Amino acid sequence: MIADGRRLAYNLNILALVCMQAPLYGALMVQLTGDLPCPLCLLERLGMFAVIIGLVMNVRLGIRPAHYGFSIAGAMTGMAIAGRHVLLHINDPPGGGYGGSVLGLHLYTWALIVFLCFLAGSAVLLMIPDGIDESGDDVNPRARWSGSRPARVVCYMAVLICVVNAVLALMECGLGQCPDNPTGYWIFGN
Amino acid sequence: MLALIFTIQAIALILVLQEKEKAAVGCFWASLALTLIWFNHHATESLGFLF
Repeated sequence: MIADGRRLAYNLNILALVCMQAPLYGALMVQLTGDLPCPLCLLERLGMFAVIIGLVMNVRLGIRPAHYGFSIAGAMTGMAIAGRHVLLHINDPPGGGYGGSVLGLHLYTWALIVFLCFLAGSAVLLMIPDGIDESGDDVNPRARWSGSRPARVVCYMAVLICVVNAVLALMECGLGQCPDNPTGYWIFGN
Repeated sequence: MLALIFTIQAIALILVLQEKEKAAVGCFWASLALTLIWFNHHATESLGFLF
């Protein structure tokens, strides 16, 4: 019988995976409407994927402090990038800033909020009593993984969105440096 | 470079799903280090002589 704390932590890890992927799918939708991401926007996505890797480790391999550590390192990296991005545009006049906005905030501001929320959430996750898988207990991460369809779906979705971002980044930037204000895809000669 | 980092992260995710934790951790740290290096490059142009 899996302890209630571990079951709660496992389900909250799946929820965190969904919450971290939602802005990535939203950003993809914005990109497909023609609003190309800048280099810092792409770096913020990399920070989100670093967070996601730690969460997928928790879901697939068992909930361990080291896996939370990977996610927190990714969130701190992403927060530094998003913070830099916000500060770059902090003195812009109203209506300025890079790209469009969602609910009044630019996507890089949302990225900063997402990273801050994840750090607060990971503090809560680490405080759940019995929320960590320990060696020698009765938890089998493999059985838990094969018994949870939502966990499998959300993890495969994470791989899919990461591969899509890799292809789009190659199309936009090629193998070198992205332009600061991209106007078209590199692969199409823009 | 950004496409390369995304690719390393996708490989890390696939390795996690295949339960190859050590290799996945290696890919994770490689991608995070490259992300920081590339961010530093964009923030300061300090690697401008390379690219």
